[in-house]
Amino acid sequence: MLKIKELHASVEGKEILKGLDLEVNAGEVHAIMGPNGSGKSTLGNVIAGREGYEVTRGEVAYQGKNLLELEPEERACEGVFLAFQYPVEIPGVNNTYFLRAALNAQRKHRGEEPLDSVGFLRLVRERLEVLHIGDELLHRAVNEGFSGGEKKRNEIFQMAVLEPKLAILDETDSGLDIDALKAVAEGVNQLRSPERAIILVTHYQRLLEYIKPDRVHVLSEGRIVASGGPELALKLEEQGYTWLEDGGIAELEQAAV
Amino acid sequence: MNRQSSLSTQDFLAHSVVRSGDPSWLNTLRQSASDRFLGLPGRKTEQWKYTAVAAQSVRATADDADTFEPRVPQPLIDTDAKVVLINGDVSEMPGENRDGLCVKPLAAALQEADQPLVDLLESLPIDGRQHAFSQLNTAALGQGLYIHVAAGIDAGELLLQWPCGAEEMNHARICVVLETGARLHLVEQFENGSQHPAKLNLVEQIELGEGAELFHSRLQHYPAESLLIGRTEVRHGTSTRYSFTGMDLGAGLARHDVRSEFAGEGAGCSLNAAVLGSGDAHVDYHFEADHQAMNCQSGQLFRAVAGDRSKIVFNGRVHVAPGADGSDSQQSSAGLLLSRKAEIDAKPELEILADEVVAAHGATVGQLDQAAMFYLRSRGISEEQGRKMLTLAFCRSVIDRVPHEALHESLAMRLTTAMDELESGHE
Amino acid sequence: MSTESGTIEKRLGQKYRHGFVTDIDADTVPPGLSEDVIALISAKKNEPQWLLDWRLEAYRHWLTMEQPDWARLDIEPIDFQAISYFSAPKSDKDRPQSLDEVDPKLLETYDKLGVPLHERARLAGVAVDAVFDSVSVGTTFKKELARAGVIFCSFSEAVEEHPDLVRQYLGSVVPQRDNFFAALNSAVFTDGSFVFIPRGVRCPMELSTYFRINALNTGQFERTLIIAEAGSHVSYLEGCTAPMRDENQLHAAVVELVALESANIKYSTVQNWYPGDEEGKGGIYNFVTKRGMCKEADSRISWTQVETGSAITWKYPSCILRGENSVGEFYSVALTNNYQQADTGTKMIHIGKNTRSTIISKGISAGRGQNAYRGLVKVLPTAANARNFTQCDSMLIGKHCGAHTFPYIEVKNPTAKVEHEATTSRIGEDQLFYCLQRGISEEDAVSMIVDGFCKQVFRELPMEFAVEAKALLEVSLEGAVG
Repeated sequence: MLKIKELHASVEGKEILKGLDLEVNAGEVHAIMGPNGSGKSTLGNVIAGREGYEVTRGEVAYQGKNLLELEPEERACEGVFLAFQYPVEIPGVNNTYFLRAALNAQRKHRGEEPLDSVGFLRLVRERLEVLHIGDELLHRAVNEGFSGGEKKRNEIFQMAVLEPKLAILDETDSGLDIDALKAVAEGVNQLRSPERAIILVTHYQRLLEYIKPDRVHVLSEGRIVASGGPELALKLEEQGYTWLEDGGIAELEQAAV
Repeated sequence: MNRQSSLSTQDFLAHSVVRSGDPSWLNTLRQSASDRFLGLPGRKTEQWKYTAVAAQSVRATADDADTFEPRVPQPLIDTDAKVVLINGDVSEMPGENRDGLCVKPLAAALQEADQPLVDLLESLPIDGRQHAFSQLNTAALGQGLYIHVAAGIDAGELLLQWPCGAEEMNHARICVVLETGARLHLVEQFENGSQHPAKLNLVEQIELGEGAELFHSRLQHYPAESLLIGRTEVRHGTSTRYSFTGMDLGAGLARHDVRSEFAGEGAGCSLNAAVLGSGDAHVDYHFEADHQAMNCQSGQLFRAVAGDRSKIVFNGRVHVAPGADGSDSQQSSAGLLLSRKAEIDAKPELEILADEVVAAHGATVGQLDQAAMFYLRSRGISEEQGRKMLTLAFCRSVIDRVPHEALHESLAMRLTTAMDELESGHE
Repeated sequence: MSTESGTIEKRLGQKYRHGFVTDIDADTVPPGLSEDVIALISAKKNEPQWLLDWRLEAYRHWLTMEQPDWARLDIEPIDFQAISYFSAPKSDKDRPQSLDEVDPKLLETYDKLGVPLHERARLAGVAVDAVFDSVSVGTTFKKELARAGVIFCSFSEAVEEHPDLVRQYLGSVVPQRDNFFAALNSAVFTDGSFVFIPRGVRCPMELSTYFRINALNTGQFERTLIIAEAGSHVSYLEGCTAPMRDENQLHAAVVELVALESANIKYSTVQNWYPGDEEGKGGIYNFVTKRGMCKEADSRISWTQVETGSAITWKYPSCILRGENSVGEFYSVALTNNYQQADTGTKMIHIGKNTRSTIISKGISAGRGQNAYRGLVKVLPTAANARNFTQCDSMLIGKHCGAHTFPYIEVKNPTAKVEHEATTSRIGEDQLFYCLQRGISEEDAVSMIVDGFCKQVFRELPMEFAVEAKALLEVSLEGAVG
């Protein structure tokens, strides 16, 4: 579903991704781990098409299309979803209104009829129930005044409503207490499906105790330096990221074989 | 607004302002205003720095009606308390006044000459060229309304519709007196049912008795090339509240001066306006909170969206007089420029002469929040739609101050429509 | 927290420390202004014809102008015919060529002012071009500067030695007709400083000038011109004091800065001219036009000012940001006490693409002082992506003073971003109480809080000046809260 080849990207003239390769298939859950500054968030933003993230070299193919040619909203309509590390507060824009506008834009793109407010509310309530989220967030402005946990849950809720094909969760676990983490993980697990690919970007192994990834990748200095199964994450947790610099990469590579 | 003032005093006040048959105090008032007229303000008059008035579009007052076919637009809210003023003249009155609410044509009230009304008319502050239009207004005093709400009465909503389109400028005066503890929501609709441009010079004087509360909502959606000069003077008694919310979507030139003067302690005002500038519109808001008494609170909120070739001006002034301790004043103004030909000018002023004061203001001019825009787009919303959503949200904080739900809805819808109609949108 | 106004006023009664008169036979032109007087000034200074013509042109235009009244200032009428427009120390023709030849009394004057020209200049590595009344009398470190190719001399000298440079740049930033006081200055300016930093040179030391108004009824009309060629850097320091006088003295200076490509000019002022007495009698009228032009790309001009003196201060050090990516900065502390008035601020005119400006203004009002910030941020249609940030805070100490803010924001480019924030409040009672509770004296607490309030500006000053500015503020504020 997603094929990234030799991706180089820079922010404000500084190269962050330096030849990243990654392949993710439908139905798979991949975890990308790495120390701060390794380029984890950059990857998510590049895939979603954020301005200021300049791709200098490489390819990103998504369902056979060149993703880099598309506008951010076209990517979203094609089924790419980014759960933001820092969801943006938009005062004055009602959460429900926002989500319906998004859903109908995507439906229109797919040639489907827009959902009327009754149909939409039905869908929303159903999703809220599945995710065990109260409906009070529907009445508020997008993320405005939300706690850190509420914002992350709102991201998962949006994902549940929009039903993307490829979801990238950018440090969705950061800043959450254990209850909120469990709730978020549960939400993600419910959204696992054979048609959907999920990329978890995370600093800690903690999240992976609740969401079992199929593949784990280690990102360091803008490149994937090792890939393996869930045990790779445990190894990393045990040794710490500094170990990467002390020759750990070679060791990892062997372990991953 | 490149045209220079070229008409002299004679052009404005060529005819005698004295009207036979009117009481002498009234004629004296008219004559002295006429005598003190110095001409229209130009760039050198600080309060008109960004709005040099085109004298050509302002002519002497005339009583004669003309060819304008008045078409009254759909009322903004559904109410039986409705007054239609065509070219400043009362043409439709509420069938029956609510208890405690008295609305009458100013002409009739002038003949009766109630003392509170006479006092109010004579107390209008006039300061040289700054108030040139008020002088013209006083010189032509006669059209308009007198609104009185008796003590303790909540008079609900009162809608004033202002279809206007005479060749000559119309001068109208609204006098509002709220007695102790009275309450009123004055809703004004400056709109024509046709594309005929309006020319209206309006002065409103509001007197709030102790504990009285006035909500004042205003929609200005005159056709292009219209001229509206509006001045609202509010005198606050003790513990009074005044809330103004204006929304401007039209006009060639619209100027609003809204001033709250705190004469009594513990009073408060909230002055809010949202302007969407399109075409060649030039909209200028001057808000002023004048803290003369202790423990008063004032808030000013201004949102400007300038598209096409429009120019939007905001001047927010806070004055705290010596001894007005316990004053609290906040002010926020923000502007969005959508086009390369548009302009926004802001002047948030503070003049503080007492020390136990909290005063702050913030002013920004810029673009929509790019992070919010990306967030919307990353969910599949197009840039165009996202821009509209965010622009509406930007103005929302102002419209949300309107206490009447149906009116609130109606204003929000108007704003959305106007946004859709922006000629060029962004460039 | 008691803030008895009686105590405040008593303790605010701090005497002006720099009040004394040096007894020097001045060569003073009788009061009055005419084309003859201007011709006389020009002749005394051996000026070329073009400069005289330039002065006369300014004068003729000045005659058609009216003294502006838009500032929030209460100004006694100025009799321009009662002012003497030229005053030079006696030995005009054979001016001292080095510090050793300078009248010892003059040097003594600087000593009293706390400016030991010899020691301090050398120790601090500061070159001082001391302006005594109207003529420059001593310049140090000239040789070292010359070695770097830097020209730092009196304006008169520059007219004689570098006429082409003067002619090219004089009036290029502040035209003769710019405003009433600039036109007056252009007609009658007597001396000032001239700085030229050649291409690529980083000026090896801080340049400094001490102004001092001395003779009775002598208006001082300084003219300063600083030119920084491509890639050069210079930091210029200006300090001003004047002796105590009953009559108001007019100081109408003009400062012009020109920054070429990637040049960097930092201009710092500490101004503590005589502010008048407790009744508001006397004091300097400080009506100054200061403006810098970021003429070419990537240039930067930074104004820092600490204004504690003068009866009336009326100045707006400004930046014209013409070059792409150029940067303008304005950092200001203005303090008014007793009957002092200040109307000061800046103008940032964004013309070039990606131009940026920052304005930080801190106003402190005490006694019956009136302190106004007035600033203009103007973004022209050509200034794509222009950025401005303005922060403007006022502090009130006492019941009879005033703090005012008049920002003008004019934006004509949709990609520009302008942000303005302002606050006005009295000195923080809880902060004061907190300090007192920890055993800190009230005076110390006040100066500590005020110092904190001004920190953002002080840290822009060169070290030497920062210490002086802080001390000056403390002196001016002694006992401001009783």
